[in-house]
Amino acid sequence: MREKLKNLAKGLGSLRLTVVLLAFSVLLVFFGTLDQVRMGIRDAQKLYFESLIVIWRYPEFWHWGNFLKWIPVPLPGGYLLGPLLAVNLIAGHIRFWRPRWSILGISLIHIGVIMLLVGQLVTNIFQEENYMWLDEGDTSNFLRSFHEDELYLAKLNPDGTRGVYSVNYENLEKGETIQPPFPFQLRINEVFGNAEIKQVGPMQADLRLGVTQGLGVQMSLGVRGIPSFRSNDQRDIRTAVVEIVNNGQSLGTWLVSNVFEDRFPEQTFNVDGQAYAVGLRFKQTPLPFSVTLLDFTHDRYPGTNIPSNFASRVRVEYPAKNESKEVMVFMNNPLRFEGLTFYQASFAKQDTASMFQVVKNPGWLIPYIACIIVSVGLLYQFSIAGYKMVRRIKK
Amino acid sequence: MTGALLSGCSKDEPEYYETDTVQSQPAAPAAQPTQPAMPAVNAAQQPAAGGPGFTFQLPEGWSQKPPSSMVIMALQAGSPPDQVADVSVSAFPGDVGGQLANLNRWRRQVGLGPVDPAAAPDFITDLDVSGIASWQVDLTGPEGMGQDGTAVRMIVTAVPNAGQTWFFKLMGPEASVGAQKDKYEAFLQTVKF
Repeated sequence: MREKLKNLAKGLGSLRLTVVLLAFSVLLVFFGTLDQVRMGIRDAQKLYFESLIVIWRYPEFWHWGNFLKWIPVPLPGGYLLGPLLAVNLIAGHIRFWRPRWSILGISLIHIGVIMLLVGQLVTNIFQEENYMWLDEGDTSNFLRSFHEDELYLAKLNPDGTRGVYSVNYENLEKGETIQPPFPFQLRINEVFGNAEIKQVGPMQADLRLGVTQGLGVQMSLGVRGIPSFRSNDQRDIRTAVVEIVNNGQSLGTWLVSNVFEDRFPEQTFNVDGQAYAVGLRFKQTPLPFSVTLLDFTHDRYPGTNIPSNFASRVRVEYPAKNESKEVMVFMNNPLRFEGLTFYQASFAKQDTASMFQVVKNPGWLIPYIACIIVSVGLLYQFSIAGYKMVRRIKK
Repeated sequence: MTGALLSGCSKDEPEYYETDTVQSQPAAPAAQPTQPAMPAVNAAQQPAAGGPGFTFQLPEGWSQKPPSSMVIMALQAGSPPDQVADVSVSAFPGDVGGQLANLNRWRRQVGLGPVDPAAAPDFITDLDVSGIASWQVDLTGPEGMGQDGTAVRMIVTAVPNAGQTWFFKLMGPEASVGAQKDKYEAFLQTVKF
């Protein structure tokens, strides 16, 4: 038994395994990069790097694609390769490590590399990326998601506040009934990952999907499911048909879609004299503070349209903490506030609107610490080697 | 470890939260590709049965285009090599948020900032379309908003009729809209609900 464990440790820590894993990593990056053209960066990342196993198929449009596309090629995914590389590094280190000052640097380098791997995993799992578009003078207290959508129900209070119940679009299932913290239920009649919405006449009444209330009826909208755009530039038109049910009785069926926001007034209804809103939108994350864009400036190199610098002056106000400050956000100088990082990402409208990419990454410090450890390790190791060499030459 | 971490951190649970008055923030400026546009396949769509809901006379040099999503009627004002602008007609229930909200939405589209309620009437003119008291705005944005770097101009006429608001919109490069304005006004006079 002991012998078996020893052999296992030996295999796990072997250099041969390191080479094999690194070779697979190269293949994974290669095929992932190729497929990114076809399926977009997000899907490629999910399929290749956020998975345990990938089945790669020879592209149909390559030479002999008609025949070779039928042969599936399994590859280890990023979530398998990453931990295996970490285990290999640790096992190898344990196997070969001897307590000697002369190789302390190598130990530090290994620790740093392991931290980088762990940091990447933490980022992958916990990082949230959102955005905030602001026109000059505008204030906002929420973020919008780049990729996620949500079905929401909002209780509209007379004082202007609202109680929002939100379900991620990904979790919606046709036919299910959801119980929000309100005195009615929400039934999901239809869900479309991407849809074509258009006005239809009586001949195409079946495309109206039994909608009885709101925009769908008022504008005679019909819906047809279409394949995903698979585009980095254009978001899929996520659409659903939802029914509000109270004590087993239907109060109406609404068509909701993430293209309605910004274009039409919110769809509202009343239950027992209380007003509610229902909709599907880019997922919002409320903030306990607000951001106001005071001024956006954009310098260009003289005589060209190439930006030399763009910067936003913003005011951040956090009433609960009695905090208010003005900050300049520009390239390489993000605003870090309450665990969020606001990067200057884009601008529009003749330099009067600014977009911030807002990233929440609890592991953002790990790569910095890892790099410092690796640097110290390298410095130490090269210094020792240099010192030894100088001593040898002197002798 | 990965599995445990993955199953242990679900960001997908339904959530409930209270918010203050929602503050303004466009999902994306009109010119940005991040805004999910209606798919182009919609362009081939036929108008709703029964025609656009009004009669009109097409000015000389104008032509009809296939209506796109949520647009009842689309026209091309002018024909190349003359300057060309777009005319669209749409109808939405109710007052679609009222004059101020619409004015500021259109101002946004041509690249102007919002105005406050006190200043809004300065931008609105009253007129009569098909015997119905209507209102109109004429907005020109800053240079650089159009595709060729020119300013975008938009003339929108809102006609409340039968529980809906009908929007007639002439939009395009500033010079084209200026060139088609007289014909657009003549066209409006021929509209009969």
